[in-house]
Amino acid sequence: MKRTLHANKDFMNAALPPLPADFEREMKELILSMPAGRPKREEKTVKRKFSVGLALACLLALLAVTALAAVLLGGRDFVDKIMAPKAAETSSDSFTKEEIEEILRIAAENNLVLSDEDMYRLTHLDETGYFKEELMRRFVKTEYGFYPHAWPIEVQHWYEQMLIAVGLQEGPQVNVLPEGDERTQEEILQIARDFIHEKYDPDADLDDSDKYRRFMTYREFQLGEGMKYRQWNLNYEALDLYGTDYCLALDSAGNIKNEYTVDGIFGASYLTHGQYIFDRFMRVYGDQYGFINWDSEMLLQYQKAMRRRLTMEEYAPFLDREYPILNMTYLIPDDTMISKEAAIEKAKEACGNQDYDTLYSHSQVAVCMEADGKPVWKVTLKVQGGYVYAQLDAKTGEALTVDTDQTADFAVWREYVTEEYWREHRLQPSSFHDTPTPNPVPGWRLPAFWGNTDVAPEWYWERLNATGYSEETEDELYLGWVEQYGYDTNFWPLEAQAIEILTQLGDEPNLDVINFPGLPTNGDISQEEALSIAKAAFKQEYAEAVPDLEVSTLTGAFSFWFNYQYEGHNAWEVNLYRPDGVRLGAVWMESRLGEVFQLESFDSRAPGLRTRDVSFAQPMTTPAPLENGRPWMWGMDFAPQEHWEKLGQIVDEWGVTVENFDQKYAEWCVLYGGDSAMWPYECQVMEQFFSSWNAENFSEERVYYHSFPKEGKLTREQAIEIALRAVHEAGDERVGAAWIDDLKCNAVFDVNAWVDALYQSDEPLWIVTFFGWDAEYGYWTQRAYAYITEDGEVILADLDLYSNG
Amino acid sequence: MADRQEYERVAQEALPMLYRLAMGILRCDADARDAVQQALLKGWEKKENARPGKFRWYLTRIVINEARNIQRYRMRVFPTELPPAVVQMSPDYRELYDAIFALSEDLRLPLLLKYMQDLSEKEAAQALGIPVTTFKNRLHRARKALRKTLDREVTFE
Repeated sequence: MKRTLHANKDFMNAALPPLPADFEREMKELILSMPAGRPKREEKTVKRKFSVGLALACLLALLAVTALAAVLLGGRDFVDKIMAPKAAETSSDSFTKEEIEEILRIAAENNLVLSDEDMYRLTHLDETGYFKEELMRRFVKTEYGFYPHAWPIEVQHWYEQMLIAVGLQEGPQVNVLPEGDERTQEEILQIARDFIHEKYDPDADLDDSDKYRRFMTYREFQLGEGMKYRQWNLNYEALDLYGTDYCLALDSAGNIKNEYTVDGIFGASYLTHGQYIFDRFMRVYGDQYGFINWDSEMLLQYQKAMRRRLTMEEYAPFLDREYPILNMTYLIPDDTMISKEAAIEKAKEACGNQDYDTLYSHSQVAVCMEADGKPVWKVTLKVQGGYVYAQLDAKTGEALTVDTDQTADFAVWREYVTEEYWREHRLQPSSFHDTPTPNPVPGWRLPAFWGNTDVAPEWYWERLNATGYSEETEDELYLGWVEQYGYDTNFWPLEAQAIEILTQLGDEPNLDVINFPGLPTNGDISQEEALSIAKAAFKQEYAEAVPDLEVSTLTGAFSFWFNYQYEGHNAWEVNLYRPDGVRLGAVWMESRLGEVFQLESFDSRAPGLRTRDVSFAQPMTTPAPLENGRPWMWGMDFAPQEHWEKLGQIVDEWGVTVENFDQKYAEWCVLYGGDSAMWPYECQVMEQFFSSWNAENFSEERVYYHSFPKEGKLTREQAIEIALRAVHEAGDERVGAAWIDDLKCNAVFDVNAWVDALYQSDEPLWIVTFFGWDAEYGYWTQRAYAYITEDGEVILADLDLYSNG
Repeated sequence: MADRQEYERVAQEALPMLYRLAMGILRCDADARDAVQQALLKGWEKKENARPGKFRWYLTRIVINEARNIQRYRMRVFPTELPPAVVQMSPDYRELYDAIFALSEDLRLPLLLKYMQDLSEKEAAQALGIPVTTFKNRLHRARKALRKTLDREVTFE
């Protein structure tokens, strides 16, 4: 039997090439060199505003260099008097190597010191030199600190003004100073302090720079037609793990226009989820390049905060990365163990002579943890092209394992887990495969099913062929569509959309479960009608959350689907766009009656997907029901006679027929809610047989259906009890028992059940699902599950922390 | 809107992932570099469009778009050989790797985004410019196709 393959993030990362070192350097320089208002990659001609005033300033600066030699310049003056005039001398956006040598020489004379990393970079330049703005900013930072938004607003104003003057930024200026009867900076700060003290914490020591870092900007925005708006943004960032951040926006008169807080790592605020916890650690412990060298104490605090957060709210994407860390036992080194520094040296001895990188704070990491019940130091050392990992006995320093990984990158958390855990849960490197398997070309060609009338009707293929599409015309057609309609394919003609999707499916796509790109016919509502319905539905759904919504100004872009979400219904998808071209949301409706069943909003005030319960028109391909009102598949051989007899009793008790099923469905929605997982089990079974099947897709081979347990076998209640125990066992340590107990539960007895989304079980199973209420999307989402045989054996049980709607 | 600090931090941290994602689409180092570079430039130009805390998936979306542009207008032929020293893995995982890259891009990208990135399904769907339900549908199809191709159990973590 072939062994199970575990595909996870580390496999996916390892399976693709690592970032080449030269490209990494190049891109990091690009990232750090982005000047305000205009990115630079290639040299461009820069508009140089060389005023008389500036020319005079240059002359004076030239004359003043000698005079100033006796007075040391601070960072700002150095930039203002030395670098800015030099920058204005040429139209290039970079200083040359020679110019930089001169600048560094003068800087040294003024005792202006940059970081080791900066100096290394500046003394190892190639012929392209270094970006002027980037270098000037570095020197201003030596006087005012690392964060430009934490500089005094007068400095922010000066800096931007200087960049515009020397031609490195285009105007108009954004960073402004109060003028006229506008509130002064001090007044604004006082308003903010008073507000925070009154509303949140009277003891918040906002002016203590050891406790808070203050970011403050005053900016002017052009609203058009000569109108301007000025706004203060003020952020107090707590400089420890536990304090609250305060964020305010005020207008020029000092009125508070917006404000919010973000709690520390143990806060209850909904914003304090996993990412914010991580960000707070980064703020407190990270270096200026965005890396942290974690030690055991930090990791223990991190575990505590993340575990607490996980008991309050799921943040599924974060769990993916953090889960290994939550499973480790970190230790605070004591006197019986070698020190961290000694561990790093021992690791280097064990790994041999290599070129160990020491430039970054995370280049050498050592964490004390428990492995197989014993204390170890896990040491990670950055070397050229990769990392070496050594695990040492924490008491003796003996190297227990040494490994080199040339494919890993810093984002992988191998540094913080034991090598044993790594080997058990991660990919084992093996010998290099010398004969690469040829990759099939995905194929920009007509797929094999093109024109197949089993897939789509003949008229459909005729309409697509009428576009003239072929391998020879493809480029021209695509370019034409992009030119005429833009890159957003939602605006393309439906035939073009269909071609774009179908030609990327490959030769053997599984068309059974596909939103097939369709085309409407005379039986479907028109595009105009769909737009009208979409606007009305969108307004009805979101008007309360988005009070300034003006649907009359929205434009529509359309898609059409056959067999949408493989439920046998054709659907219009109407995408709604604001006048500025931003996509606001989308509405899906059944194509013949225009019944809206799904909406999605991208407005930050009401984001997410919402569904509606509608009674769809019966699919046209469904066979007629039987004369006794039973659905068309009743009595077929895929289910035993006992099943039909039992179901027949239930159907008669509830008085359900094909003709009245829609009405019954609506009644059950009113009685039990719109989510059928919360209905009585009998109703769920009837729903499946009376409405969920489309004869077009039906195959008698291994039909999957809800049924009833046999006498003497596990009842539904027993299955739920067993499932709950199993889920507690799987999840108590991760999320806490109370979290699980709060979930709602449903159990179905399934024949030919789909286990883990693909394999069908050979025996019937109780599928027990646990749901939590997802407030963002407005419905129940799966949070845990268990699969149990009719004899009570648990096949699978786990939390499902990846479902988010 | 992403400010400069966030841009610098997120862009640097995301660089390896962006490159890998571009390689996952383009399979060519030169084109992947172009796509990443363009994405960084455009990400900077349009940073005001990114919502606070969402800059990473915003960059991801741009890389995907840039890679698709390159794919569409430059390359029609994908390399039939893997770049050397790309993968050191057991034959089983090599098979999985090949199966993943035999998928159409429509199905491969959701897998890459879901399992390479720390994006939620919603963020990944927005990065691809498709509804969440479509993203989940494609992910389901991708997983199903892989299991069918490999004829064995594959768990996704």
